Amino acid sequence: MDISKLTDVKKVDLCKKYFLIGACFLPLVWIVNTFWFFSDAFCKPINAHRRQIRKYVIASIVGSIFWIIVLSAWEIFFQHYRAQGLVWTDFLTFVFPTGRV
Amino acid sequence: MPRTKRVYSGKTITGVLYPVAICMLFVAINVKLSQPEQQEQSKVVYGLFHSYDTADSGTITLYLIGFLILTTSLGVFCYQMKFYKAIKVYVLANSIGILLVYSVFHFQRIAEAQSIPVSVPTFFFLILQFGGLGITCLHWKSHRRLHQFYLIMLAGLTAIFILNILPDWTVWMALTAISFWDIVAVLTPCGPLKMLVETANRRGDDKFPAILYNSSSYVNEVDSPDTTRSNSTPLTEFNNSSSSRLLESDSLLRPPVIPRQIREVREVEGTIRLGMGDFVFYSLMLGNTVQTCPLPTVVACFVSNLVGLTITLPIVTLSQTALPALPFPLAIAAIFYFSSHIALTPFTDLCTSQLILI
Repeated sequence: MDISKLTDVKKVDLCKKYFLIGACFLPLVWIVNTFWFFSDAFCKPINAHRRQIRKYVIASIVGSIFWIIVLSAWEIFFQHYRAQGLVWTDFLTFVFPTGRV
Repeated sequence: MPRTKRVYSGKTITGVLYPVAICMLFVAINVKLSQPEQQEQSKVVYGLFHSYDTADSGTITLYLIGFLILTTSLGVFCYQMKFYKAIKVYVLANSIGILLVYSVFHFQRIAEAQSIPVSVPTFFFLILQFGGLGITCLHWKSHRRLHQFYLIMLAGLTAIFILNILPDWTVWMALTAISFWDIVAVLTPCGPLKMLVETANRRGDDKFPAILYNSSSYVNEVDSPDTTRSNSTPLTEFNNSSSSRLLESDSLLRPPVIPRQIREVREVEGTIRLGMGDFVFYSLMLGNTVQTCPLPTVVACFVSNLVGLTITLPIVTLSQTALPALPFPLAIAAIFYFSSHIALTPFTDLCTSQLILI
């Protein structure tokens, strides 16, 4: 769909729903929400509706960054200890690299 | 009432060629990535074993065609009986099955082939992102490009799924049989897809726009396969892969355009509706080529497929009727495939061994 043809009220509603969907452990939906409504949130004159859109877009950005940090930290932590050959890392490894018995 | 004549410009044709090309490239790259170098020999052995077992290939092809005819007829029946909810549930189940369940197996295979160590939480979290966003885009509101991206992903993953089931030569047998079924379904008076188009046109003022208006992906996805329904039976699509949708007014890939009137003949810029099954079968053909042939043959099949699709459009313009989109592209691709397989590859190998093409 093309949001440039929507009214501001419907834009706010759509942005809010996308934010709520992203809250169900779906930061990728938040990223899409950010890119989709970024121009409406920051590149147009401000009004009551755009202020709400801006709020949801900023919340989506913060949430996405949070999840990216969590995922990166976990993966760095895990790969470090997997290389050391700890036992609990074997249970959490989904794909073993070539050469490992 | 002025007679309507549909014409297709280059822009319309490229609007169809680009997603088809992207889908084929996606399947080709994924097939190449999920194919470890060391196991190519065992793949060849497997291929040799199954290639010449024509009885087995015939059986698999019959199962495939039977399933295809069954699902197509059931889909048309549900549409005529106005069982729209059944169609919606089916489409939703297929999307979930492919984007969430089969994605796990496919990306696991790629990670294993590329020797990428992945932890369980990270892997399933990323698959959840991919599948969750996909289901949101396909069955609810989303950006047009993202919607098209996930339609292509759906078709590509379906093709990869079927490709991993069928042995090598069965793919060509299956594609040939499906092309003939496509012709039967679209061009004969009692063909199910022809009935589907006529029913949709008759109901043009009623349910059809309503379905499209609410969520066009429902109808577009009627031709999605069901990966969760069967265990060993090869799965394929509703054969909406025909160009029976070529002439429908709603566009999967392009927005409607304003008609221009010239005397008593109204020239309408036609919008092309290619069924998702077409994407699957084109990608199936190219994926099989990637598995079994060197790069020149792959490129030849890729280009000839697009050329075949380009040929279909002027014929649609001349006949002003729906046409199946599979026969021409697949026939031309088959010609190039077998000619490359028989002539070009031995020639290249001979030149290489003679140190001519250094």
